[in-house]
Amino acid sequence: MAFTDRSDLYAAVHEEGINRVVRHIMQQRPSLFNYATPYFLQNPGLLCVPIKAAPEVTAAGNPLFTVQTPLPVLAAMPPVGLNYCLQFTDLALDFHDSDTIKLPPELGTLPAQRLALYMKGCFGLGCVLEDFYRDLIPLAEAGAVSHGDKPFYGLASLPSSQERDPIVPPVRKLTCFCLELYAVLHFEWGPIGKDEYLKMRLDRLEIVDLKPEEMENILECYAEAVLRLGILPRLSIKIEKMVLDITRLLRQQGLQVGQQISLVPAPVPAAVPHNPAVEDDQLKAFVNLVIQP
Amino acid sequence: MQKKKVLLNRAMFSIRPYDSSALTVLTTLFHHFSEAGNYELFVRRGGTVIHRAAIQVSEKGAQQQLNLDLASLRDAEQRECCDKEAGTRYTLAVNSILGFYVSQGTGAYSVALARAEHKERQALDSAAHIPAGDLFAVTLVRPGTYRAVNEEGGAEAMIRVRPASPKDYRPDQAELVTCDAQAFKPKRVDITSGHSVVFRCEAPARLRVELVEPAESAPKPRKEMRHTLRRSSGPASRKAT
Amino acid sequence: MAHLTLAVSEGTFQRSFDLLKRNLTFQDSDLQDYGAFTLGYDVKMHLEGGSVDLRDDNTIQIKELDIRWDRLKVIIGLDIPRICVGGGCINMPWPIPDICLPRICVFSADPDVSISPDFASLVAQEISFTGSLVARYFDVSVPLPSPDPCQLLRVVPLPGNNQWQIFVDPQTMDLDLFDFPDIVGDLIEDALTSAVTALIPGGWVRDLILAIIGGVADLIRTILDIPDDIEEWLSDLFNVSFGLLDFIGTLVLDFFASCNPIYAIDDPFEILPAAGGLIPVRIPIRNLSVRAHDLEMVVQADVGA
Repeated sequence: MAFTDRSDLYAAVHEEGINRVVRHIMQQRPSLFNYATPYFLQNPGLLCVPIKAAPEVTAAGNPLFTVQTPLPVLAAMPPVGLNYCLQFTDLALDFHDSDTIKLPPELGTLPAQRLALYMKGCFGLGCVLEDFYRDLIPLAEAGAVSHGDKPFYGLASLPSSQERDPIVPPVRKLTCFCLELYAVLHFEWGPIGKDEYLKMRLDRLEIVDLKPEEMENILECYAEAVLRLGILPRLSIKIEKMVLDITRLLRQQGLQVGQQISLVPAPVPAAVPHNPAVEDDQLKAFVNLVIQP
Repeated sequence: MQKKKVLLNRAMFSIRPYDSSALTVLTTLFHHFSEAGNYELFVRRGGTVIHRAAIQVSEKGAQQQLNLDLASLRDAEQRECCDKEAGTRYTLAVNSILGFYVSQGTGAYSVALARAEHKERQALDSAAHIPAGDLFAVTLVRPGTYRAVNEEGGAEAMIRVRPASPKDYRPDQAELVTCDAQAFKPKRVDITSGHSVVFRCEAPARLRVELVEPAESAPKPRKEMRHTLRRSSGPASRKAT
Repeated sequence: MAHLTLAVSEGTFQRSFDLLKRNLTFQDSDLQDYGAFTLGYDVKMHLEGGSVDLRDDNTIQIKELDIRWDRLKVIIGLDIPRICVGGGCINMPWPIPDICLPRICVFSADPDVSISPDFASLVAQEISFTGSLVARYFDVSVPLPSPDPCQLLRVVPLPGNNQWQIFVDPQTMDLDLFDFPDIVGDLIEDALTSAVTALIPGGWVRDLILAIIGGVADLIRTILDIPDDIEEWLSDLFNVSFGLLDFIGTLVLDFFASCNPIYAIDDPFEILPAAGGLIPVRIPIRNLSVRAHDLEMVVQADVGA
């Protein structure tokens, strides 16, 4: 049976290939997966997990992480911020049928035509050292009582926003913990503007072994929002790129993809039962070539 | 191949009498030097001398024939033949022939030759007549019938010029006709277009050749444009044209 | 199992091929001077039609690809010899030497005539070839051969980076010889006759001149040294003397075999563009292979570690 029995073009990506692609991205664009306060620019060794970057990244002077503002200490006057980092250290995909990612019991068995996502993230916070507290508390107390003539005047109004740069206590060692996130996703075709894209959709996710349960739910809620609104839309891939840029040569010769030629997904179920299909550890796309007369 | 600009020699095809007293395109006068000596040559066009030259005829001269193109004599000053200080000079052998012809243009020329030491002794004055022993040639291109007249004695001859045929045509053919005071011999000559008749004068002569009757151009056969189809068999066969 | 698999059906291959061949046009001209005559050509062609057949032996067969001539001009220039009358010598009795008459010429110089009839609509050729599907690696650090045979044939610019490229490498090729139909001889003769006769006045003058030059047809044959069959002479001229046949063959062979890949993928292949000072993200492509069978062409590759 030929790959193109039911379509003009066929493209497939094996999960091992996808995971290699993910590793390349993590190493060549580490700032997508690592977030930390400026303190770590000079002290990268204090991060929870060392960042493995491709040599080209450091050679080009690219950042290893995306710089974040320190975590504000609520009610502190003068403002105080804590150093922290958030690092996604592992990311892997497993196309049905699952054999490389073992899903937690909450997600059950990976359904047909679905893929599993495994992500490990570590969060580290720089706690304030005792010496630093000794210096900061007198400042905080003076700030709280300087203008009031009533008891507990300082509680009458809390600072609404950071009006000036916070004091960021230095860190000798981060306190880190890591969480593992599993998700079940699927692919579908859909338009973005005028063009057809392959899109990734989230079905369910689970953060493993976090107590109390409500905290787990809150984190899962947040993670879902990040994935659905922040990350997955960025992973949409144009249809001709999906088929390894097959039309590039035609384009280079002056033919306009989208006008003179266009690629459209083969119809489901008239042509193929699933398109895109996630099976045999691969993502498969069945595409037809339409040439304008 | 760079395209050259070429001009048609229209004078060749103009219709007019050919006259030994007025040399034009397609006529040639040949003078025979029977005696050694120094001569002066005068070439006139419309009564004006356009060229003078010295001619030395001697036993030592090697050149047996020299043909001068009267239409290009103006360039003689630049020719290698001539000593620019002493003027144009030709050297010929005794019994040699000096030919005068006109290659192009509509001009009519006459030539005169005189002994340098006895200027009153004119060896040739073509405007008056051709001396005995000289020759006059006409190359006839237009097919038709021509009459040759010796105006010195009134003798006549007929020349018939046939159209040329591409099959076996050779242009370099000439017929010799002699003329004396009474008659041409032969009196009738047939040549092909482009060929020449050379009149050898045994007595002083003034010759004139004129077209009497042009030949009709043969109509070209029309190209067959119709193709006849015939059925090979069958009772209903009919001719279609 | 390969990390990446791409399959293209035979029908898609045909349609893509139809699009690609629109870009193969060829034009050339040359003029050679042989002294008494010049011969040359001024041609422009494109490809049409043809069918694509993918075969089980990993080859692709292009059949009956039509060479369409947009312009197929034959340039024939003649340097007509001198056309003169008179001349010849007559024998004279001793001691007078033989007298030779001057020749009077019809034109001031040897006239030239030139024709360039266009036989584009009368000549048709087909080309068929079978080629293996071959994957090659273009290494940008390796200098190009000098001279570069693809310089004029490359329809897309040379890549600025390493690339996997797939070519159809023709093994055999059938190319129809130039075969000019019978009418071409008449057209050339008529055109040359018109060009020659346009030089000279009509009537008896023309008859005389034509008689002197022996008729235009014979003149042409004499000057060009051609046999009675002008069509055959012309075909031979294009097939052999001008070398156009070899040129077209080489052109098509080079176009497909070495100059223009039917598919190419950069190595490394960029999946995220450079942005905001960040370097692009590229993945290495390894072990690219191509194979064909009766129904489709399959390209496979791995993502490097």
